[in-house]
Amino acid sequence: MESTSPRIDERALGAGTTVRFALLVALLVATSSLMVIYVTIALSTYDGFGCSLAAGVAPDSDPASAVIAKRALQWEAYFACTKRYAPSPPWWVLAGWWAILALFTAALFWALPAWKARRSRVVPLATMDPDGEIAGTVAELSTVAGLARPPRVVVDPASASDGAVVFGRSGRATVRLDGGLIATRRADPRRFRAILLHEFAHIANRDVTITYLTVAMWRVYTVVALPPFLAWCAWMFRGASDSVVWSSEAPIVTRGLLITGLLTVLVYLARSDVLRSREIYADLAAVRWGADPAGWSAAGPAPVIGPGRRALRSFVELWRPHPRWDTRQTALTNPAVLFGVRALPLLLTGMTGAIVHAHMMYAITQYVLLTPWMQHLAALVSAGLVAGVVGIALWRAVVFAALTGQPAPSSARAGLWLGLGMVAGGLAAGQGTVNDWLPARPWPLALVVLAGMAFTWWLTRCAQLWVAAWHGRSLRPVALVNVATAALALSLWLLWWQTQGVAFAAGWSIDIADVRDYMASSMVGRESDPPPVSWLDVLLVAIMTVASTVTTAPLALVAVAGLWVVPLLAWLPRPGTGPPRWSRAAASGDGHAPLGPPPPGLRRVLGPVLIGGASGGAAAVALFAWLHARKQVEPSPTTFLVTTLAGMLLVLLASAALAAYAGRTAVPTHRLPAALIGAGGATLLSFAVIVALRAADGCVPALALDAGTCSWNPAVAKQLFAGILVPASPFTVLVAGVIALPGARTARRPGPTRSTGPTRPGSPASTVLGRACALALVAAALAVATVAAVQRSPQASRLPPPAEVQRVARNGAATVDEDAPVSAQSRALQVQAWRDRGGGRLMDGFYHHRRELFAMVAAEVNAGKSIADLDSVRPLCLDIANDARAAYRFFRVPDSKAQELWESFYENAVLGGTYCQRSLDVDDADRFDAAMRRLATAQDTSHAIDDRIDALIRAGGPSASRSPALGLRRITTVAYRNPDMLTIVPVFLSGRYASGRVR
Amino acid sequence: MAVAAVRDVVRDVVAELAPEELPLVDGLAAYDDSVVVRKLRRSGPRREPLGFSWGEVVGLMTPVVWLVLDQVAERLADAAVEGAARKARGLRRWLRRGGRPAAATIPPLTEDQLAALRQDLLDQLKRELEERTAEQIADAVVRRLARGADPGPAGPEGPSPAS
Repeated sequence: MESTSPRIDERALGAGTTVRFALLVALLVATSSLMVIYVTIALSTYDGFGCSLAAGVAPDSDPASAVIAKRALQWEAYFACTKRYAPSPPWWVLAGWWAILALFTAALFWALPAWKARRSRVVPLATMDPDGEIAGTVAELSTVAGLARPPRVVVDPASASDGAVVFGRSGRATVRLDGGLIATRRADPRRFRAILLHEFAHIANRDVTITYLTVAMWRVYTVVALPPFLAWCAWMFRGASDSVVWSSEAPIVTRGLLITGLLTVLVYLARSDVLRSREIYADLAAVRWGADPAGWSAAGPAPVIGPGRRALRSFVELWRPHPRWDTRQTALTNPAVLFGVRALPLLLTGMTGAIVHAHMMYAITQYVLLTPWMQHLAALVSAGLVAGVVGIALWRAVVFAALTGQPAPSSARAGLWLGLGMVAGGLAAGQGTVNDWLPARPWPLALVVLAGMAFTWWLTRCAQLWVAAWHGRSLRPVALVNVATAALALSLWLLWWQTQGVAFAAGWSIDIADVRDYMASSMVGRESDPPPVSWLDVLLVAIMTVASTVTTAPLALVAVAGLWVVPLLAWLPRPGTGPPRWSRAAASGDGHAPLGPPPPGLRRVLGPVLIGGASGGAAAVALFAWLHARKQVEPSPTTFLVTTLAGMLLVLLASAALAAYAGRTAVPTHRLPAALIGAGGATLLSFAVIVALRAADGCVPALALDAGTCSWNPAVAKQLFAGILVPASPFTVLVAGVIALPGARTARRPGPTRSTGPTRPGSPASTVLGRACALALVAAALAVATVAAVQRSPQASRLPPPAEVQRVARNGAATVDEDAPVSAQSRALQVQAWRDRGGGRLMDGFYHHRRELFAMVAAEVNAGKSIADLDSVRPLCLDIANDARAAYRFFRVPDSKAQELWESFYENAVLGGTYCQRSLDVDDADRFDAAMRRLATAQDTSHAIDDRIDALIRAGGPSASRSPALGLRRITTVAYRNPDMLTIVPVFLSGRYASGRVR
Repeated sequence: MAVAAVRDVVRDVVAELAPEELPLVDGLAAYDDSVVVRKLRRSGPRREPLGFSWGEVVGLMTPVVWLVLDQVAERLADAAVEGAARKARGLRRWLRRGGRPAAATIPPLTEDQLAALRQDLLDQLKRELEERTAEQIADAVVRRLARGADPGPAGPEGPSPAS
């Protein structure tokens, strides 16, 4: 480059330190909360594992997917069981725990400065500075640094070092000077001033409070939060040999220990990394205020060392809170190190984000707060922190690259490290593993890495676009909007991954045909002979299954729309002349490099929208014409429905793909934003055409599907919106992303003026029209997203009813291998848990009511009364029938033979109770006798069930015959609660797949 | 000649040879001798968050002189205790029980003792400092001890620099 490289101001964008510390704080809070929940559960009568056993889970052989499915298939009974036997820890436990941690942290934070500045360790500066010379220098330099008042200065006269340190709070900091620094200040006054200015820079940069707050939090965590948890782990390990279900417990407890060690490493590494960058910020501020850079130059040249030693040195360096001197010296002239995207912070951020999210999800599961809003909130917290850290780093790197004319940072590499971090953190936190060591299906973990890469790709490309387009005074507002949008999008990913994604990795699968039939049943009823599964069924079920979880979050469409609306906004500001104002503030020097390829005219991005929309409209017309013909010959209403729904989805996806391709071709320099804008806009236009065609069904006979006559039915828009546009939206942006991937060849090479030339304004009229169109698109997207948010918000505030979850699970959303062998010991544990967790109580209830009934009837008969005088026993008959209905809703007995008996028991009981009432209604003695005989039979059956269970327990061996409290209650269901059917399958709850009056 | 407090001797020697270190002596003077010695022995570079340091300052005189003179004072005190104990058997333990005095002192020494002390100082100082510096310090110490007690303005009984 001909121009001299400009000097970049490291404050061009925020440093992102606060959000990095916030991520550490979130990690400590989430982990401490998890630990206290573990310990509270261990100390309570909590027995969620018994409920899993009663549901038929075999602790020694069932994989995670079977655990999920078995509980889901009997969700009503399981939910009731956990409410009774495994209630949430009281809310005050968590609240009190946070209060204790906050109290200790505050106390330590306040005590630390006093301890560090205690009289036995330091002396006031005045003791060593009787003539006030040093104090004068301190006052002068604090003015230079812009401090409101000079900090308190103390000296450690015994320290022979020539350094200083600042501690306390940013608003009330104390600087401690070493005795050696005082002794050498006359010999080397430049260094003395440099060191003081460096420390004052920490105060001015507000590093002090946040650093020592983190120190206090960490110490409180290790001293207060960790010991009870380690004691719990030790207790679990100690009893391992006694526990008959240790094989299930071992991964959970070991993971708990692993996460403790990992947390230590994470916090230490992340904190050291942040502190290293803060040192360089302080160095640069000190030099800006007049510190002599020679103060940093005493270190000799870096020794020449081999690659092995260099790697070792780099590794050791990771753990130090101070950067190497050569790094610091280099940074004084070239602050590139503060603008780099480095692997370690990305890896740590990914791990931390995944752990925080997993722990938050566990906590809200434990407190039965799994509404879609709560789930999305947990995802938003993690995503916000991750996006804050990664987004700021990427934006800084892009800005630096633009200002210095260097190549943009590799978003793929950044995303790879972030994704790997998320995978590692998720595995450590037990995502997708439940009671196993590793996920049954590891390959979906690759999706996490891809998600990380997509996230960084979008951020980087949008940053490049905005850096080239923005002429305002500061980049901060646009960076904030971009990072917030990325956070919202990442939260959707986390929401899906933590629910269906991890369940899928754990081995969860669905029955496509069952799910399809269940979906279709609300519109076309159930076919007696359903058609075989076609690829359209697979496509429709897959899209609906994924989208229905993702889009239960009311803000889902806002997130999806943001991905293309935010880049589109970059075209709206009027292009300026000369270097942008923000770049003049961010870079000083003789020359400015061009800030990347400027965005071309609006026509280039709006053209693809029209192309895609027009193609989508044409495709919709063709689809309906084909469906009109198909309707006459298609025998299966289910197939026709699936074809219609999948056809409309495919029209939207195809129009999005075409527009994305046109976009990337027209704007090769910003191909991802252009592809997304094309896809987003084209989807809306195509959808509008579909709505128009369906609303006017019958007006064009060749396209008619339902109506015989022409009429305008705008109500269909609402159904299509929920059934087609909402589920398709996330996939249209995915398709656009795939189309925009590097590697796919563009049809046309851009000319030099297109890629690097100045922005070519169109004619004023076309510019105004373009802006109006762009604004209309933005408004439409936001309107659609807002409508979806408002529509979904009430439902997202509620837990799905257990009966509905169970119904969905039994209609294909959960499958289990009924023939999987179960050991005698597991079978014994299951039947024992079944009896203890409610089966026995139900049989006892029946026994007591039946005995009372028989006794009363016997007494009345003996007293010479007839059937007409037996009304007094009616309430008992009612109770018996109700008991039997409760038995019907209870767990199936985890043994086929006992289950047969159980079914016979409650059938006889419910019929006996019901017939008893009816016979009393009509005074029919024969029917009454028959009812009593049924009840007697039910009683005998219940005895047989007891006998069968006793036999199974005996067959299970001595360990299984012990008290259930021994060995079983220890299990915390810690991991068994997550993932859960509640999180996986709110899927079909709405059942709103209606596409209008299709048939 | 009279008893000389170690801190006075240190101050005078530092004032003569390294006056830029006088604030250090003043700062250390805020503590008892035993505290000073403990702190000087323990002091090492600390890696603290938000700290800035190149490391130890090479050639600082104050810590070396203070620690060496403290050892001298302790040895002389031990010798005195030994002598007293020999004279009064059984009193040895009693004499020891008093522990270390708050202010270490060096008793009046004869010329022979001063000569022996100089050599002793040289041997110890040479381990930490250059030979020439070590000789300068040893000579200054001997000169100061030969002069005896010198309750000056910065002596232990004098006004504190902070006051």
